[in-house]
Amino acid sequence: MKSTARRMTVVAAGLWVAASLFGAGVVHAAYPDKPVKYIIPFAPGGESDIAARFQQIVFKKKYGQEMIIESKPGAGGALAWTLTNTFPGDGYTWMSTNLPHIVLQPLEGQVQYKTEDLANVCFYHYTPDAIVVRSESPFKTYQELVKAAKDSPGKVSIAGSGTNSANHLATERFNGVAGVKTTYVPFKGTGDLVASLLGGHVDLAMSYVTLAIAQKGKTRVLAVATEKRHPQFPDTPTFKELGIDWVDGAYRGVALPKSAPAELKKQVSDICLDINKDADFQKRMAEGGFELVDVGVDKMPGFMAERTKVYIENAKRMGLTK
Amino acid sequence: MKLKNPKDFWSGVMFMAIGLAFAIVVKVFEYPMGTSSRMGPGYFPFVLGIVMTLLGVAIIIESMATQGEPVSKFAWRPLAFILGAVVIFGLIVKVAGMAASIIVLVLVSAFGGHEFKLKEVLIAGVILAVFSVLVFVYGLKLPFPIWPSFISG
Amino acid sequence: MEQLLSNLALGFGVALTLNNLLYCLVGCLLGTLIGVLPGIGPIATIAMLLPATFTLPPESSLIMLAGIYYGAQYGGSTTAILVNLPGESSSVVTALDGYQMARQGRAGVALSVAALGSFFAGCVATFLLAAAAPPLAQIAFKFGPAEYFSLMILGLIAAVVLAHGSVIKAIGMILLGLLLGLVGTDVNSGMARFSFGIPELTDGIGFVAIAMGVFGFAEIIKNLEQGEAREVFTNKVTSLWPTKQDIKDAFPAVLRGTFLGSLLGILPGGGAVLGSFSAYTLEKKIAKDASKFGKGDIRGVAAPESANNAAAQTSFIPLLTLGIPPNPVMALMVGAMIIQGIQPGPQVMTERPQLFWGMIVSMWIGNLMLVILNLPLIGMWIKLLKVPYRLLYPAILVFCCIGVYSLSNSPFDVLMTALFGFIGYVFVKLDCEPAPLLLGFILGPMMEENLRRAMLLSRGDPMTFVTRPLSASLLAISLLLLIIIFLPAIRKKREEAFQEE
Repeated sequence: MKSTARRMTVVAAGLWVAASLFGAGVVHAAYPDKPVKYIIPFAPGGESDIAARFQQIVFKKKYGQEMIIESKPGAGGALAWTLTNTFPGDGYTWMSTNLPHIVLQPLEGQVQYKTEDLANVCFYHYTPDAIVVRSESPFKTYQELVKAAKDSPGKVSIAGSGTNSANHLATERFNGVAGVKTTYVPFKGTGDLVASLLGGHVDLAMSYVTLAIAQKGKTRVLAVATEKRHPQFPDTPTFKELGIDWVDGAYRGVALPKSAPAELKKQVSDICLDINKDADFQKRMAEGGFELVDVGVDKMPGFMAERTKVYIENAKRMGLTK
Repeated sequence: MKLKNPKDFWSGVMFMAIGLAFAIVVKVFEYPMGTSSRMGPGYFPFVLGIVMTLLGVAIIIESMATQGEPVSKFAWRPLAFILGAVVIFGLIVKVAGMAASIIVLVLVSAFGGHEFKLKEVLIAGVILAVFSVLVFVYGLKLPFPIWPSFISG
Repeated sequence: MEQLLSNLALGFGVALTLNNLLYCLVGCLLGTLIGVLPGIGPIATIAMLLPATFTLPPESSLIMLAGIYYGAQYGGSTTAILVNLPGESSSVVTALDGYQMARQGRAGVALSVAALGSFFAGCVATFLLAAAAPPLAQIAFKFGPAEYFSLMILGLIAAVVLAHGSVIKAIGMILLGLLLGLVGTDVNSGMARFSFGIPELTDGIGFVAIAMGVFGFAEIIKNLEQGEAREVFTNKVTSLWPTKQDIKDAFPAVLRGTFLGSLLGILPGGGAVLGSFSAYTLEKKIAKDASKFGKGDIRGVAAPESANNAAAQTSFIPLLTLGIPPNPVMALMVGAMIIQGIQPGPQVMTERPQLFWGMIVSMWIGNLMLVILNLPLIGMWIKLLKVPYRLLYPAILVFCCIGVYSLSNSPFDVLMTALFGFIGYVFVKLDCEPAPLLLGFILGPMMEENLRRAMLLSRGDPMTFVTRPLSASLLAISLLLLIIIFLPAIRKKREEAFQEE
């Protein structure tokens, strides 16, 4: 423990030196030198909030500054995202962003921000899509599910959180790749659908691995959208193994107001990726079912282009035109 | 024509008007109705709006057949000062800070009462302001500015 | 039984450590404080305290957070009784008779009955939680969308009874509440309805804005209208303690309230709210003399108060045994557990028995603390009513405004509250009682969601509501209740008609 702490200090110090060398003469050389406000556009207790609080611990430890988490929930995140560019771009206001939300919401056309308005500097983790059934379900495998859905179109009901959401998108994607027709039943949130799933009122849930972890023992996972098998579900195949190119889920990251200078965006991106390297952070995230990814500001344009393409393709099937 | 049961009559009118308004909004803004198996966002509110309109009509008809009290006059003075004070507070608190806004709220709302003793009201305002700052800002750490923004910068 | 005793012993071992007792006390104190302050709810407080609980052991942190939650339930009824301000959905019903008691100089009795009834209910519900959580949790599974819809229907019909005036106007108010509840984003299509491009409205109208507007503000304006000549509260305050007759009246109500509250609290979503007002409805329907309800009947305080406290305790059952958060506060508790590295769910009981049982026992201790804390406070609250009304109402306004503003840190909610204050005043003028409106408002969105979900699942066949046995029996009870409500009204009308002739 002590040695880790020391190593952290060394890393932090190294970063400090690097940062000051790199940005010599720039105002932000000593960034961060006061508390950072981190706005979460969702209610406290949700995945975005929890992941941010794990970051908060490491941030304090590594950079010696407070990170103040402020939740500003509303309109599925849109309320806060609309406000992003009204904050000063001095790096002391971070905005938590989510994919596919920030692509789908503007497509849907009811929100007052555009995807380009959010200057994403990093995406640091995702919660992988997963097909979850209750333990008593007749569907033992992905193939059985597809067969049943093919035999009686529209009869298999799939619960998910929200409409035009990541779960909805994943359901349409499933319909597409399996060539089936199912009934998507939207719930207010993941917590809301659990009782209906376990009670057998819906056939399955298109959700995240996090749900399967929380309901271990009462549910079975048919497939997960990760690169490799999930360590907590070694017997569950990935979509890739099933011959489907599907590694996806809800990505979460950080955006800064557009006015932030490029070097500051780089600094925040580095901090974000640096937190991902913390052993304690990695352990906590893994236990919660969060998969870390390192998409920094350099990889951002390519990543966003690739993601947007996938989303728009599936969004067409959801009936989101434009 | 003299209304026999004005309270019920006007209640009926209120329900009818609001019910109609909801139903009309559904139609004007073209909220999709969907089908009974896949109800659209317009379905439930439209049905409810129509039911409420009918209920309003029923109350109006009933009011013709029963005796009731007249609607008493609106007390505009307390209404205006109380709600006005609240509105002012909501609008100025971010700029004027908690302390000043509370004193304004207490002063304006006190005009809605029957007696107004400036000294007493001012003392009450200051006590409430101090108490609130201590409890809400220092105790519960609610994100309110205490002082006007031109002082604290 | 032996198993239970050893589990409870384990729980006492955890809960009775000096540290945990202290955190329990802090939680209860904080909860009472925010409960008494209108508008500031447990969600904001728990969210704010989360970072502070990182460093605590998981047991202590959850004991404290749970204390805030049920402490707030206690505190919420205080404001409802004293100044007619229901800060939480469950105290709407308490305000009906509690506030009338306060005006008659019986605030002390109302408060002490509320506290004692809550304590009794808390004990029973905690015992249920300890003894039978897993089997009780199964009830939640029986409820699919069709059953929820039928339960909501039953709830709405029961809400008619809350009003003591015209039945038909009460139905109108329920419909109005249902419609207001639909403002905001539609869960099924993701479309914003009745929000007219105002971003703040896409999440719907806030409960607190409506409750404070139509109850609190409208009451203040009404009182000022009547003038200082007629003091709002009588100066003659009767004893703080309930008389023998009061206890005789209240105790059966407490028993029934506890039972209903414990049962409904288990249901995720709306259970706790349904608990307090179905308890009220039951009392009013079985009372020999129902005319006193709404005018300061002690049973109208005792039953809903015990029901809501029982429901607050049993709502931990779906959380602790299934990992299902039944309300936003519980969702936050899930977050707190995950941050502590605990996956809430059925495995908590087996993998972390010291946490599970420690928390349960601490709830009982917390309830005891609350009663000890609150009873002496009653004397102080009563003194507050001695403050001349011309000074009391600005103070009420100040606390309301701060609470409402802090909901989203924007003027929007404050303006909405003022608007609803005006609407509430119109209701007063037209003799339209606001309690049914609030219940319609809470149940409306849930009812629509479940109706649409049930129809999706049955593929458009409305028979699903009567072919499913549980749903059918709920609808049958609703029908029965409807008949019970309407029969006297019709009879009375006929009598009146005869008298006129």
